[in-house]
Amino acid sequence: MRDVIDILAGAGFTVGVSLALGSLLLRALRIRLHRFETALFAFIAGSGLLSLLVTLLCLTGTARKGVFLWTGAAAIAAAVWRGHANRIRRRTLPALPLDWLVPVALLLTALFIYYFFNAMAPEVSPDGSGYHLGNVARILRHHGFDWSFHSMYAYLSAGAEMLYLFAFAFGRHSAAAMVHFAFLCALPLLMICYGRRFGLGKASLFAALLMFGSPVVAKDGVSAYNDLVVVTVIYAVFYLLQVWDETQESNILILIGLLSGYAYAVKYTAVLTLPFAWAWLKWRHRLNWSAFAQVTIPALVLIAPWVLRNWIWLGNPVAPFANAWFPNPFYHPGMERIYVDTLKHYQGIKHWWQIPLELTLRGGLVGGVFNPALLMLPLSLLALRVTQGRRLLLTALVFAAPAWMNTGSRFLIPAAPFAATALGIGLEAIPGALPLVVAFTGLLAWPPVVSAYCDSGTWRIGEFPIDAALRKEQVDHYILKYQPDYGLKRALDLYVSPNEKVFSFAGRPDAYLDRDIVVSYESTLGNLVNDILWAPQAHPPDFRQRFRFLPVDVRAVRVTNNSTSDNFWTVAEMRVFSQEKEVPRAGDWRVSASPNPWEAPLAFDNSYGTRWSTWQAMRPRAHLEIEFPRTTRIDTVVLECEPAWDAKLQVDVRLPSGRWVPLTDSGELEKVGPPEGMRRAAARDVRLLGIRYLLVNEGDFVYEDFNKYARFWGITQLTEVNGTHFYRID
Amino acid sequence: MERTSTASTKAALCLLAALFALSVFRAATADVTPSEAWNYTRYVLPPWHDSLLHYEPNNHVLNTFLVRISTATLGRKEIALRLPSLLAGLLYAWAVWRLGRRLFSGWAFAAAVCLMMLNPLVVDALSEARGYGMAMAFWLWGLELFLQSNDEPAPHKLNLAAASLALSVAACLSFIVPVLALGPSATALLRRRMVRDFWLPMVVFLFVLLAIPLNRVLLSDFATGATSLRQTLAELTAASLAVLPVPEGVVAAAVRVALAILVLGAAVLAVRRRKGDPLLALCAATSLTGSVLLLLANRWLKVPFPQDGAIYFIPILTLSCLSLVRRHPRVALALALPCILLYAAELPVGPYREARPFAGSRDIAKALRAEAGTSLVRVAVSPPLEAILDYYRARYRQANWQTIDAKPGAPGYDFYLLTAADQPVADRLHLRIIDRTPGILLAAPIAR
Repeated sequence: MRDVIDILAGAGFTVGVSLALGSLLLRALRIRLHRFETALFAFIAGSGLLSLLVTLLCLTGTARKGVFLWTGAAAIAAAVWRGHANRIRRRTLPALPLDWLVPVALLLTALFIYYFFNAMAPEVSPDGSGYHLGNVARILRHHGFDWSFHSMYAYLSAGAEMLYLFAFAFGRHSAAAMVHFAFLCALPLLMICYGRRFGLGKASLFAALLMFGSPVVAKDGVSAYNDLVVVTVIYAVFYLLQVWDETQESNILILIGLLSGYAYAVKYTAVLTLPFAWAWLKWRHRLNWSAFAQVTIPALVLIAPWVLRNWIWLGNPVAPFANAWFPNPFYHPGMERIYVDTLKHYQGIKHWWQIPLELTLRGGLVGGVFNPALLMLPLSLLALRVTQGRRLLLTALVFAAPAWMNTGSRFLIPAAPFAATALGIGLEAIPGALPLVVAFTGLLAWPPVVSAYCDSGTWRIGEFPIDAALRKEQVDHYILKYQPDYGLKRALDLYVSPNEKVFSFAGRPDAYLDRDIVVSYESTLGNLVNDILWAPQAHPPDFRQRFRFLPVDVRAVRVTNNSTSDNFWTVAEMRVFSQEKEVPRAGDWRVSASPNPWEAPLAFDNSYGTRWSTWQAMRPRAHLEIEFPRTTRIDTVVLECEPAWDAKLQVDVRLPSGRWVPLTDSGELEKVGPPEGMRRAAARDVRLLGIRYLLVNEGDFVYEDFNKYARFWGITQLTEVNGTHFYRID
Repeated sequence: MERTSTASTKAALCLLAALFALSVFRAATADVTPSEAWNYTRYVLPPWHDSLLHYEPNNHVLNTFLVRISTATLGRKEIALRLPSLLAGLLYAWAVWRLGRRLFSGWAFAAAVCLMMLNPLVVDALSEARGYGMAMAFWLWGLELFLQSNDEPAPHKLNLAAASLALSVAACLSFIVPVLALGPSATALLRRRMVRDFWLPMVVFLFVLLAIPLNRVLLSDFATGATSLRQTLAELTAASLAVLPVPEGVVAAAVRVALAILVLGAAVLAVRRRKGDPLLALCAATSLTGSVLLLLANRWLKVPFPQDGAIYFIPILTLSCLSLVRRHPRVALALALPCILLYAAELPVGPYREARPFAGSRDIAKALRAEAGTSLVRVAVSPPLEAILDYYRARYRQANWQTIDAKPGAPGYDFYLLTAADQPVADRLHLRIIDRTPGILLAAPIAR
């Protein structure tokens, strides 16, 4: 029971502080909104301020429960005092017809109860219990950002996670999920307010039901994701632009700017929100410099912390993206490209017409399903007849654009409320259609009914976990059902000390494992460890590529690639010879490479477990270079590698005069067989990188070799849980 | 309308009451047909998720949905299976009554009602749990609502027509043809805001009814059917006029010629009379347009012609013919009477047409139940009987009929259910005959 109280208190406190900050802001800006609108916008805007506040605390290393408690209490006290001191009477929005309001309200209430218990249940969603709350837990442990932990997911803007951190400090994982749930509930209310204000009552009721009853929206909203925060904020921006259109209050622009910046702070894919606001103002012929500043400066206040954090920490303001424009040692451009390409393509879909069916009826191939009523979206074109309809459809198109980059259905959530409202307007124009479709939508929104028509593996709310929610069912038992890797917690706590890292090929539920997990694809460190572990079997350097030339005195030598290919170019060792004897490596050699200069030393470490790689598609002028401290005579360059057959390599030397001269592009390729002892070397190299523990699934590439040749690797299996093997490098 | 004659009205009412009583009797006593059994075991009995995972054209969605409700409420008996069709039969009768009243009064009206109700295929459809009767009923109501809207403009009537026609398609997907044929005909006739009041509502209603059940459908699902419109008409003719002592081919040819003349004549008259005879205009246009649609679908989309599913031609062509002679009630009576007599001669009182080769299947199932008792048994069946026996296993809750395999010739089973074609198997496997009907043999190994 204590846990339940903590969860509700944590989430409630977060929502309360958001409301308090928001109401203070709205008072300060003197924005005139209707009564219910004020509460909703106070919550949304206030959550943005709270997110900013927590971000600043994280940046300064002061993110602690006590600080949260006192700051929050102060905010609430200030809001209550201001409220008493200066009461404002606000008008109410026009009423909705009761014969519509009552049935829709009943449907929404029934769904709310179902979702509420799902949100209260222990957090077990993949990304929620993975990086969203994993980052939150790590930040709380360190009382701020952990600058030594590197993962692409830690580089993303985390405006929503800052709210979760606030709640997590009091009520842990489920409190964070409940905060997201609060946004799930706020969105349909906001949509209904919009309908009431702009004369679209019935259409907005339908759209609210459609959104709230969409399985992917519901499942996302009861988990610690951030999509509902994003869509609610974007919707709020759109709403306020309409209000500003009507009232011309300039202070509303400040709020619009704030929320536009907040949208970016929550999720990169909302980057279009601020330009959308600019474009709107420009379109309405009111984008003068004053308006531009009123929108942009508040936006920058919320955007800047994330941009500056990444720029200073990683050298890339938009990490983990655009690494080709902002090269850095933390995330390879090639891996970024692979990651983005993977997300962009539909797996298993052969025809274009399968896409709308997957998004609305089946869901198995797109990670979730919207309500089937959205298949009637072409009827939303009937909404083009009215001004609001045109605006809604245009906005839907704008915010659907980022979905090109990720085929997951939840990336269409930002566009969905606009499309749904436009559909409602269209259906309202057809006699008898809207009530029928409302009933249809309501029926198909009910979670047990969803299970009847969608694919069985579709991500959706599939149960009513009241025992788990009220903590009558053991939390560990519940989490283990959905996250078998949770069973690793005990072993990790026992064997791995808090400042040590664990490597894993696959993602794990970081939120529950109190150790830093380095995942193979999430960082350059992860890539490197993966590469090293794969080396003995996948790419042993069993070739020597020898470039001979007449002896020449040089200050530097480099091997340059002159071809283009999608493959990476890798070199395990680069050696230089003079008269058949290797020129001994010296500590004062300066080695460099392009791209990926930071890993150039890997080609000179005398280890066949490691190798330098471009980590991106081969381009001309990629090179690996040695600069000698003094003039050195050489006549051979040898690359020990797995050959890049697409590469056209050439040896250049820098003469003592400083001029670079190409010498030869004719290399002799000799197969020498894999070096001995690679397994032990690889394990040693991984340990030298600071990683002593490995988590390997039975489906992972190295597992069979680990299992068969553990002694050669020098590893010991500590335990095995549900097919995941936990090894220590001895 | 002319003043009604109470005698003819009573006669028509008596006919309808008798037909309903006959339908109820057949619904309660007739053996299950292979299609009913197949639909029940594949779409009604399994959980929702399993039945929505696939779609076949034999799944008539609305009928399946209503059968789910009726069997869940009233049990698995044949009458529960057929209850939705019985009720739809009443709806059909009501529509026939109203349309008959538009055409005639007096004995011509009664004759029109008889003609519309007594066709053997129609009599089967009034109770068989397949959805054809339901589809016809909703289609006729759509037609009636169009005519009402023509009499007195009322947008809500057009909305209702849209709902009715959508329900018709949901009851039997093949009725998309007469619906798509009727819609444009009505649009041309009424010239009102048909898009807003009819077409768009119909799209919405169709979506609501069919989006979920049809979400797995593929064009290849409609690959089987008749190879020509001629074959379709021949099947309808054979079923309707089987009692004639004339070779089938001759009858079919004669009917084709007559229908061609009928349709063309109706079309010409419809153009001449135009708004003066809306029923004729709609029926004639529907007949022509429907035929064209079938031909085009076959040509462009390679969709075969309907096989056993073109029952809609019967009321459409009957109405077209009656409309042609509307102004001559005596001629109508004279033409209708021989047809009525032919229909009456082959009035089906026993098994449904599809089930006749397997008449007595329920008795055979009971005999199997008695023989098998509660022991676990494996049963081999002739393929056409597989669905029927699966139904009776569910109906009589015989979970001990462990395996039902369509391998009539394989040894090693406890019981064999064989059609007439497979009866030599009984000799070959030296089976002991337990029970038999003209179409089915129940046998078991002698050792059992």
